[in-house]
Order: sequence, then structure tokens, then C-alpha cells
Amino acid sequence: MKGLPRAEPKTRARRVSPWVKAWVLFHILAIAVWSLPLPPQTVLDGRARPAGTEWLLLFAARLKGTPFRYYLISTGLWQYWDMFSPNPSDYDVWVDAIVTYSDGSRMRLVYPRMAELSLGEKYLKERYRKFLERVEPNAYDWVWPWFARRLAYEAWTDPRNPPARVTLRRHWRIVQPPGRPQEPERRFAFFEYVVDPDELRRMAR
Amino acid sequence: MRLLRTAWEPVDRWLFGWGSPVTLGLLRILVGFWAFVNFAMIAPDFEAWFTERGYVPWALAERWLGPDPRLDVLHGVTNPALTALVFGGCLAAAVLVTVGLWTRPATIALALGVVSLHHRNPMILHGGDTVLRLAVIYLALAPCGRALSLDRWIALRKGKAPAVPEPVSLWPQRLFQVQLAVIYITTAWNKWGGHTWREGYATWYPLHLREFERFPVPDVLLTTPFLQLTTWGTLAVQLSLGTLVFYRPLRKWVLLAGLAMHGFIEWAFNIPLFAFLICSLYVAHYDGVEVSRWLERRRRWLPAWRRRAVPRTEPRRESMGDGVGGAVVEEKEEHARSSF
Repeated sequence: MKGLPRAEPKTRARRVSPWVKAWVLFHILAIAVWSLPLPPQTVLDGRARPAGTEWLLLFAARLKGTPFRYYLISTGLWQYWDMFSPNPSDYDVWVDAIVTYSDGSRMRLVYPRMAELSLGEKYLKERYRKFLERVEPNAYDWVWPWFARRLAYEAWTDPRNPPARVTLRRHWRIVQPPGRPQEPERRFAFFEYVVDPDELRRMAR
Repeated sequence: MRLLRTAWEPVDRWLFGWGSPVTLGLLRILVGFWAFVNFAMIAPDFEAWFTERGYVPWALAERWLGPDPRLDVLHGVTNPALTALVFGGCLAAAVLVTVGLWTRPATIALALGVVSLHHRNPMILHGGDTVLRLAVIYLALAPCGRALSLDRWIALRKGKAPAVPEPVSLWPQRLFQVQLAVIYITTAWNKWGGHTWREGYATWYPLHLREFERFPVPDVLLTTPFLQLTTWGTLAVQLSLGTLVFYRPLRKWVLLAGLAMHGFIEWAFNIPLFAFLICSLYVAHYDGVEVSRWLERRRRWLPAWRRRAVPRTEPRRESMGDGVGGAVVEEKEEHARSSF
């Protein structure tokens, strides 16, 4: 290293292109506007007149409906920072499935449940909880067949005895506020999926 | 007009000034490392999350995302081998980014891979993934291989690099800082819309979600004064991380409060990597000279034989942010010492 010649730093103009400056300013404005919270529903629906900062929130909400959104959505710059907000979730939920096989036998399959996993597994499997948080609400019932289909695939251990039906069950409790007794857990079968054996075979291929 | 120019000048100087690339180099190492860990953690469940056999076949992801066009090299791909290739490419790119080898193409490949995989399966993403995606995009735009990289080490050996890394325009580093501010201000604003945050008992709920817990927290934290402290304290710290952190005398204390807040979240809740990722980005609030001094201090802790093996990072003083407005400035750096 010692004997090697060293390149000297060049004296050069330190300029930033006006185009780069314009883009940086636009980008900062874009991510700030995109990340703002929504105004109250009444303001959004036009049933109430915005007041104070609600004007800004309404402007931002309307902007998200314009082609401006392509800048963030299409490029991967989209972002939401609404963790634990506006109020943290009070809904503790996990799911299992009752799998009924072609020969009539039944098996209980537990979708990875964080509370029962070891510390290491919990860290590695957290995405299962996140996925469940996304798809379990009733508004996403159109996702449930895909969910059940995968569980059927996982439950298929004997090639001669494929699953015929998968019943998804949610186990949940609502966390009560401080000072109130906590509720016991409840259970509800929320979806029944009839397995298409041909599709299952295609998946296994 | 003159007033506008006077107001713009300090913003211009801060946002588009020039300085040491060492901070960008350190950000690259940290983000590249966490990107690798992130993908390595998902790898065992690759089939469940990224193939047609899994929970999210391509058609489902498409329907979930809606009709807007998206940057996605995996668009329409249902062949698991091709998806695995992109996934493996991301892991490899993350390693190259971390060590700073072929840095520019590696950061671009990593950004493209992360964005594509996030669009392939958006249903398993949490806040940490969004932080990672934005960070790798900013790195792809930044000259982050100019310091603390194998690229620079190779150039130094060939005598093709100056002894001290040349100053770079700092706008990519500023993007990291502004992005952090946007995260913290808007998250606090979102929370302020909730009555449990305003009334001071919001932290009660996540601490009672069994599916979310990691290590137990003392019962005393579930009593009223402590619930208020953790609830309102969270809002205060998040607001400070978006505002007061830019005031240099308070910077260290605000960032320490941020570390304490994320440390508590990491202890109590199972949100993998989020705290590590976002706290790694705090480095962006320090300029290259400060980071170099810090690295130099760490170097002094090494035994003498190790010190000889680890190259120096930076000279003692350096010109910072003095090239605004296109002025040609004279280099003031001390060139006598080699730097990595």
C-alpha cells in the first residue's frame, strides 16, 4: 500500500442540478402529504365543514385520489405510519381449522399462534400473525378460500386420503379498558371450504 | 423576492450542501445488513408466502393491490424457481451492499428486488418492511459506496482514490432525515386522533394482546400513572424525533429517548426488526465528520495489532456543506492520512 501513488482529490464545482433539487422538494412534499392521517369521516363525506388542520387533511385525502398517487404507489415509495392508531387494537385473535378427510376422519390444524411459539419461532413466524390480522376481518371474506386452500394442502399427509373440507374457526377476545374485568375467549366457525381434489393435486405437483 | 431568497438559503445549504460520505457509508452497511437478516428470516417460509402453493398466489396479491401499475419484476410470474431467483438475488445484493462491493449496481438491484417482493406479497408487510423498502430506495440514489466500502478499498489499493473520501452532495442523507421526521410526526398525528392516546391509557391494549407479546413487562406499568407516562411519553418522544432532533444541542437526548422507546417496544412486543431498522437510520442525523470521529474512537479501543489492520476512516477536520449555489471551492481536507 505504501508505495502506491495516491490519486489527489479533484477541485470541482459542487453543484446540485436544479432538476434534482426540484425532485427532492417534490418528494418531501409528496411523502408528507401521503402520510397525513385521514380527516374525520363526516368531513370526508362532506357532512361536516372542515375546521383548522382538517382542511389540510381533506386536501391530502383528495390528492390521494388523483394521478399523484402513481408517484408513490407505482414506485414502491408508498407508506403508512398508522401503527397503534388512531387507537391500538383491542382484538386478540387466533385461528385454527378442523380438517375433514375423504374417509370421514377429522384433524385439528392450528395456524401458527404466536402466544404458543418459542421466543425464536415467534420472531421468525411473526408474518403469520400479520397475515391473519389482514385477512381475518369479515371485510376480507374473499381471501378466505385461498387461506383454507393452503391449510388443506398442509393437512394432506396421506396421498390416498386427501382433505375434503376445511372449517376455519376464530378464537377471540376483546381487551377491556383498565378497571374492568377481562372477558373470556370466544370461538366461532367462520368459514367452510370444500376442497377441490384436482386443485390440491395440481398444487402438489 | 429577497425575503424568499433569504429564507431559502439556509434550507438550500442544509438540504443540498456537500460533505463527507462516511455517514452514507455507515447507513449502507446497516441497511444492507438488516435487509439480509430480514430475507434470511423469511426464507424458511418462502413457499408459504411467495409461491402458487402458498397463502398468497400471484392472482390474490394482484387483487389485493388493485389495478394501479407497480414496479414489479415478478409481475405475472407464477414459476417458483423464478421467484426464488429474485429472492436469492436480494440476499446476494444485500451482502454486496453491506460490504460495499459493486455498490451502485448492488443497491439498485436490492431496491428493485425489495420493491418487487413487497408487491408480490403485500399482505405480510409491517412498518419495518416499509422502512427497509424506503431505505434501500434512498441508498440506490446515494453515492453510498464512496466510504467504508470494498469498492473504495480496492480503488485505494490501485491508487485510483484520494486518501480522503471526496465530499458528496448530502441530499440523499437529508432524505433519510426527512423521512424519519415524516414517520414520527405523522404517526403521532395519527395517534392524536384516538381517544385512548389523548386520555392516557393507549398502551394498556397492546400490553394485553397475547398474540403480540414477547417478554413480560412489570405489572406496575399497567397502573394508571405509568400507563399515562408510557402513552403520553410515546407521543412526546415521537414528536421530538420529528422536530427537536434537528436542533443540535438536543439531538443526542432526543435520539436516546427514541432508543429507549423502541427498546421498550422491542422488549414488550413481537415486531421483528422494526426497532433495529429504524434506530439504525438515526445515524443519518450525524454528519460524516462526527461519524468518523466516533469510528476513530472505537478504533482506539482495539489492541495495537488490530489497530494496524483496521484502516483509518477520516481526517480530523473537513469542509462541510460549503459548496451551495454552484461555487467552486478549494479542498480543505487533510490528505496526509489514508482512509478506508
